[in-house]
Amino acid sequence: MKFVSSFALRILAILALSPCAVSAQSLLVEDVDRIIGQAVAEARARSIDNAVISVSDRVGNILGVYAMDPQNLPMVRIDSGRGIPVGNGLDGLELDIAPLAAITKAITGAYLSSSGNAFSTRTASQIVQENFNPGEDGQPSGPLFGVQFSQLPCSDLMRFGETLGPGPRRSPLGLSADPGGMPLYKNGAVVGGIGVFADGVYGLDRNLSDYDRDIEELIAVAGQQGFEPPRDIIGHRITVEGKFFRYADIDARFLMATGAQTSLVADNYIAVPGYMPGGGARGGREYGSVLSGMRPDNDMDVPGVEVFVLDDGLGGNRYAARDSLAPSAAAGGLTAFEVRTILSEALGVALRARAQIRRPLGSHAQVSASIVDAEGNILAIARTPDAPIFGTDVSLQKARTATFASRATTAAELRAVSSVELIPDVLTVPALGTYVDAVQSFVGPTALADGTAFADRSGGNLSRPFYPDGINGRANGPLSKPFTVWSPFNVGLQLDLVLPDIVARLDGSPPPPQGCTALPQSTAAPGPLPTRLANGLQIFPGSVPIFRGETLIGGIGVSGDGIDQDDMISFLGLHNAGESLGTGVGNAPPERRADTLKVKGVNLRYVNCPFAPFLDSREQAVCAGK
Amino acid sequence: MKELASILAMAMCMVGTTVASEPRQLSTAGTDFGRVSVDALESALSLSVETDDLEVVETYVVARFQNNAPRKRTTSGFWVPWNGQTDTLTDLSLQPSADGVIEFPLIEEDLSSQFLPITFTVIVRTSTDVRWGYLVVDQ
Repeated sequence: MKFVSSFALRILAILALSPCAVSAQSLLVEDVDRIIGQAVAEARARSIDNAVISVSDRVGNILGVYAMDPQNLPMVRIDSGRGIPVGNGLDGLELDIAPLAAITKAITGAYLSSSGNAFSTRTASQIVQENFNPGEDGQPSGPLFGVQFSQLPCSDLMRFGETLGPGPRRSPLGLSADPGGMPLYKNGAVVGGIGVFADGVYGLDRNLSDYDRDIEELIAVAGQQGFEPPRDIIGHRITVEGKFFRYADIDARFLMATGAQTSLVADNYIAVPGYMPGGGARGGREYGSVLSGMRPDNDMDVPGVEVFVLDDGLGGNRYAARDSLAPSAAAGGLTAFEVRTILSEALGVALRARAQIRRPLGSHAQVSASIVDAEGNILAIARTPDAPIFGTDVSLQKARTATFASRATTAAELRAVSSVELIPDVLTVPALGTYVDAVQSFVGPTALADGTAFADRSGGNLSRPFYPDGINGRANGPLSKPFTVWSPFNVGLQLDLVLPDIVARLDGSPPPPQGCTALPQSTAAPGPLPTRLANGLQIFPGSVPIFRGETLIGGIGVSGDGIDQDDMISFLGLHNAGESLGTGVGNAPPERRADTLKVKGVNLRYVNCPFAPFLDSREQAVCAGK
Repeated sequence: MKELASILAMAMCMVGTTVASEPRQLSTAGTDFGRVSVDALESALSLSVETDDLEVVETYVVARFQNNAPRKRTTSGFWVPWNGQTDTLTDLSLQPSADGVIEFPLIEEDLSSQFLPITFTVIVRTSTDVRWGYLVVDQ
């Protein structure tokens, strides 16, 4: 293939210039065999004979899917534990997808973790439910409410395929809250994840007041031996809202086969279409290398701050800053210079901000940031070096969500999406106009059609199963399912937008060129271009729309640290960029913002910034009045 | 003759292989030519489209390798980054044959080491509008 620039030279230059901000580590073939061998030994010791075990690298390449009994894979019953009947989203479905469940859990362990925090699928379970902590009535929903529907197989951002390649790679079921997915570390650096499926139920932990003896978690922890995170960064040493995260309900003391390994059978390394060829394990990609798809920018595209960019696997920045397509830069859209400035300012705020979810204390936030134009076209993506991988996709979801929700055409575009019968007589996705009806009944007749500026926090307020959030017993927000049928597997608009895409890709097939959803594609140029929400909707905070004066021209999304930090980095980064540029770019005019809307006696929220957020100053209330 | 032209309109011309598809034309809203699997990506691959009586002013080809950023084809066959702006595309100066068919070159060398699938977009600027269609190629 012919390229104008010499990619070999570019790669060499990048490697030569790379700072060692992130320890270069990767899983080797023998590591993968050892991890799986340890897991199989524990399973056998517990009389489990048909577990499926998957290992991924940090950027989501699948390095092995091992079925103890390939002819007898367990069925997967998706079950929130709330007794919700079949026909409500994914909840209650029984599917023959055990390898996909194991893969999803491995990717979750890898993607949620970093060199500053080790989280697991059990941690995910804690932060996606209707109350935080689960079971504590009267508490707001989990801080990452909705994150389970990210990294989707239909995404226009995530990479895919069976061949080892640059990441971030898609996940077949999004992120998992089913215990049994753990991160893997070498020398303090996260290098991947292990996921186990064995018990027939793909669920979550609704009761945080006890300590389970979950067979999948036991097998995963056994596999993890020798690849554990440093003690200081384990989730249960990290707090948010004054509550400790739950990392695991057991530890190595509970294992029956500590240190033992089982000889593996090559044929039991099964092929999983769209994710992994069979026949054996393979080594992972070294995070930070060109081949991992994430590498240092070295001041080439985002000057002034130390960041990573997404690499196309050939040495090129996938999302170097560019002019807006819709509206065009000539018609008032963002210029590449403005995009670059917003990105630099936002990540500059992150590098000053005290991290919420990282150890040691005093670390700065590590996040991903995405900027899109008014139709969801990606204008730039960059990340701080050790940001958790999941935030790459989520930051883009957030940017697109804030932009989409702030358009005056949102209601009409949702109404144009018809009902879809996914499984005859079993599962039908409603016409999305039903959500528009609900919002306009709830908020006002012009809602989603009058150009009110919605931050992701604002839309999230309307997406919880109780309104206001956390007041158990109150009716649901209009973008949520009623609590009688709500669960993390049946949330409302967020899932219904992408459910047909998720189901269609259970066979491992590639995504459509325009990405997820049946919403309109951008028409700014010959395409196919992304749909408005081409990697799905996101409903937890961390994004704001971008305006030039009174005109919506795009959005910025941030993800990777606490949600208040994500809010601040997007809002304040945009504000600072506007001050610096002096071109009229900035946050929405205050009178346009969704926090001017009083709904059922309660104002929606726009952003919520930490009170005294910076490591290098005592400045307080940094977002006030901006 | 019309039928023959229609078949030609979407003939996938490969060395030693021709894959026929539904006869369709470019459109201002973009025509989805579907997904085609080919066994040998090292073979040359081109796409023929019918132009009817359009007055063809300029022609372009864009490729997106998996979910990477799009690249535009240059007249010498290089693939270079494209910023998404239509006015920065490179005119390939392709002209319709006598029967009104333009053959767009897509692949001329081994792409099996690249990131598949590839979405090729072929574009015609006429005197009045821009018409395009896209084809997804995979192994």
